[in-house]
Amino acid sequence: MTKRELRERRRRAWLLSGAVALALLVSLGSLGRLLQGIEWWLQAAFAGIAVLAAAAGTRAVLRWPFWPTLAGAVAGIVAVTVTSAPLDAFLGIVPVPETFAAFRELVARGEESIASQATPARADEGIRFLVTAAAAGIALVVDAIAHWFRSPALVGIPLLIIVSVPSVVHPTIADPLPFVLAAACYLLVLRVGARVQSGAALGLGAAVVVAALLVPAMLPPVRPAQGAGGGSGITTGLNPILDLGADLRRSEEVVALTYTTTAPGGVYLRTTSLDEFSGPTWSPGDVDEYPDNPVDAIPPAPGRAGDVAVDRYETTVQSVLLGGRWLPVPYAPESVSGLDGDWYWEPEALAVRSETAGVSGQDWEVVSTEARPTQEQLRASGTNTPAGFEPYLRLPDELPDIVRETAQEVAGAEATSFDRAVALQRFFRGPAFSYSELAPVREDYDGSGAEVLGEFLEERSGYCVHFSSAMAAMARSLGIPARISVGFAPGQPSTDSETDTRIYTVSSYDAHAWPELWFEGAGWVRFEPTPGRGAPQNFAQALPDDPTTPENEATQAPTTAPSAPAPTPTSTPGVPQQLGPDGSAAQNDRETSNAWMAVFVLAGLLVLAAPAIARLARRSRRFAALGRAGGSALDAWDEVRDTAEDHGRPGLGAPTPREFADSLRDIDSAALDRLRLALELERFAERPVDVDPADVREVCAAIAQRASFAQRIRAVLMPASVLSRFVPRLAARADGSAG
Amino acid sequence: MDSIPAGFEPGHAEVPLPGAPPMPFEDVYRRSRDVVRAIETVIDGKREAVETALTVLLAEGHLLIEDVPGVGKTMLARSLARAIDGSVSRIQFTPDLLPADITGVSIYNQSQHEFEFKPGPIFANVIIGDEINRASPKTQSALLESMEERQVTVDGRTYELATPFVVVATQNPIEMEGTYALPEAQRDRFMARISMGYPDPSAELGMIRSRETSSPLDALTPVVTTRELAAMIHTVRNVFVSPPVEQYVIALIGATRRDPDLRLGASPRATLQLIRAAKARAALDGREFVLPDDINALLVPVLGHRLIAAGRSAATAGGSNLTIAEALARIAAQTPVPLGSAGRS
Repeated sequence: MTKRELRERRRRAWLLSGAVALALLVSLGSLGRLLQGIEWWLQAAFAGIAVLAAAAGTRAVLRWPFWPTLAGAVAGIVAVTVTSAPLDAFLGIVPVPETFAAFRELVARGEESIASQATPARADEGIRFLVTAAAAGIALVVDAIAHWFRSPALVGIPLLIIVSVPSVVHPTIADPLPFVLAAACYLLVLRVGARVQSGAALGLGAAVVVAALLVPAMLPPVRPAQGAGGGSGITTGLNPILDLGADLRRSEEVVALTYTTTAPGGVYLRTTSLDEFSGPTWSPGDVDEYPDNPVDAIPPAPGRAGDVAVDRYETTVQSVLLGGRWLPVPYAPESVSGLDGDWYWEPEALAVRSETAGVSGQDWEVVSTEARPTQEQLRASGTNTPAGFEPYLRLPDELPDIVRETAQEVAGAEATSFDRAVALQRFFRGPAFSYSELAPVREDYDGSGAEVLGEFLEERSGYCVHFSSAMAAMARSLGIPARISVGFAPGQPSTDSETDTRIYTVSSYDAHAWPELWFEGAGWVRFEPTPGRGAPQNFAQALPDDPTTPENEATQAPTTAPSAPAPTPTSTPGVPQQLGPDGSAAQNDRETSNAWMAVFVLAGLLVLAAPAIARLARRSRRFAALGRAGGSALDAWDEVRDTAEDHGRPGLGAPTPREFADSLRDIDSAALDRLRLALELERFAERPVDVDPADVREVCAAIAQRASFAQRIRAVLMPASVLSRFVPRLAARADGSAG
Repeated sequence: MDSIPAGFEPGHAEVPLPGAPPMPFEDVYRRSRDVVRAIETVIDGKREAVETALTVLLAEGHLLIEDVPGVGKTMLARSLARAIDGSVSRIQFTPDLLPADITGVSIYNQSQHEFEFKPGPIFANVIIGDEINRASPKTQSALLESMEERQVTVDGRTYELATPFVVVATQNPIEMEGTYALPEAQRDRFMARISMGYPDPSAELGMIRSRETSSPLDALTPVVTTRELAAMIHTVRNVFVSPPVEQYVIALIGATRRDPDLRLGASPRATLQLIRAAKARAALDGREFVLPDDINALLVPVLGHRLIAAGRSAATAGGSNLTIAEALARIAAQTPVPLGSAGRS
């Protein structure tokens, strides 16, 4: 190679790296739909550029293609260290074992943060780390694809993945702009990366991938295959409130768990409580780990005075298709047994969690207590706001005024906090509100965030997330400490005829959220504002005071006024409804959206599998021709050649069949000689010879056998003999072997 | 199999092959192996040169062996001649050699009162022309003319030369003293030019031992008769050249004419000779048809001495073997073999 050519090649390599960097940065930008601020982008861009620049710089000096990738990997690790954990690294740059421990910590925090936030999420340390590490990793991959494998066309696939993230995570995002920008950058990569302009082929290849980038933008937003096939279970552990709507809207019912209990009428199974209302969403405030809190002895629930009656129940739960890290248990658990793995309880919420084990496949026994305060006990606290509960009263600044105003209007006139709470519950369960899992999605106010509440209060249609979130926020505005608990409604009872026990079956449609309000002396008390769902249908009306409780007599006579009913949080739950009032419509919508999802997934797979399909089609056409009379030895030979090219064999530049066969000498197969001779006789002696397709198969198998595993995968998914029509790599390779 | 008419080349009359029906291809293969083996008892480790020499013999061409003195040029020529049971003559070219010393002279026979033609050394099956570039251009041209026409005209009478007829000329590289470089036009008449090159160490060691007592050439006995050779040549003429191979040759030759590294490309005569040599090579391999590989293997021997590299003076033209060989290798690598499309029948 002359100096001029070398210079030209280097210049092109730099240009290609630049184009790839631009495409990466633009693609990362599309995540702006999901994350707040710009810091995360700067950090990720820094890491991505560090990787690409290190690889490009090394490439200019060292020829072996492995070095640039190695340099890129090192640069990526350093960049991630510098941006994410400089304090845990040597000199702030060099990663040491502590650095990786810090990384692990950041990953956990990031996952937690993703789980607990709604979009657009605050890009905290954990999320920034995840995005940065992903950017570095993807930069490394696209660099290797573009330079090492010389397939700039394939750079589109990782970019497509990044760009697709927002519409996959959030179904309502269908913004074509990021797709268009990414597609434009991708075209630039193609333009710079292609050495020889074979116009039509290049155009076709570009059109295919650009279509792949644009098609998702044009499709209606869909949820990705979360249990779409019915095969996967449900995971409430990771992202309780954000997944809830999706679980309720599943196209088919999935059984989450079954249980038996000594509690009459079944129990609410709570996974966790969300006490932090940040504005965009409710989230668990406490994400620390408590390895020293074993679940065999959990302290009593906070806030219960000695004079409040307490019932104790035993419940045996079996997970069917439930996964996740939060254990569904009735509130308040006293002890949990029968679990595999390390589980602990969180001091604030008494939720049971594990960092290492999962709910999936487990069964466990829970002893739980339930307070049964009388209505007088609940009223006793008046309107006082207990000290130390400020976090449970916090409301975000952006909370629409309608929330406070409605709260005042509905319950402001009541004398005590308890009466106000009952008024709120009655308000929600009244005729003004309707239950719908789909209305919020259609009207674009799905979620539990502050702004959503305003819309919900105007539309007055939603599901448990909206009802519980609205009631909790309104209670806070009235000075009542409130939080949202997430888990499952009691489920569907059935009687086992053999053992005569009641078994409750809890399905994905029983996924539920409910508000819990704090009253001095009673602790956290469950309310049920969601109409038609969950326990007391008429929370405020059913009021059998517990006559067996001596404290009742000791304090005040039970109220006899039916007009002022007291709450009984432990009263018999009604049969939970499987579907909302508009359930059948929901079913239809689900099916439509599933059809679109199938189209989308199928289209994506088709685009990714296009090269493999083209290769298979060509192969079967050739074998079919060989099977017919008049089949050509050239078909057999072309198949061998393409297979060799797919597996990255050298020697494709050999001009004559004999020289090419010599390049396959290591195969040493009589079949190869027969094929070669047949071709020579047919082409150069005009004497047609029958070709045995088995010979072709044997030679092709031998070629595959001698290739590395990675090459074999590549030969199937990205066959070079097909791609070389779009990417002029074959020409480059032939040049190399000739020179 | 189609029979390709031989001798279609203008100025090259169909040479009758006395009493020689074509020999089966397997026999051609066997007999030529015999010849190669016989020659290799004399010239060790030069398989390629020996095979090319035999190819030229069967293709009815003439061979030019070019190398420094003492590497066995003459030995190859002589052993080739010796392996064939035909007449052999040897002409040592010197600056004072005259055309008549090659063709022969008419002498007046006093007893019969008429001129009697005394044939020169050219009237033999195998002519060894030693150091052909030391003769004067006039003498060279007399030899080359008879090579082409396969006949000699002396005093208005034309005499046919023997069949088969092959000239094996040797020459020293032209930079050496006391030589008259063969002009391109004359080099073009040789079908192929080969270089011997120095023997490898083991071959040279074997040579020391075998030559210590006697010349192995003395022990070499003919393995092929003239009649058999004529039959073999007949067979070679029947070798099939397919259209793809013809197109391939045309493409290669065309490329030499366009190549920027070559000042003079290959002539149409070169095209014909390349095809003819390729047919011989195929027959030597026991094949009834020519492969592109035959063409590739013969590119340098057949075309090398006809081309002139660019940027060289005429004096050194043809001597810059390396550049020309490189250019030919590049052309061969870049010219695709036309295979046609599948399913044509």
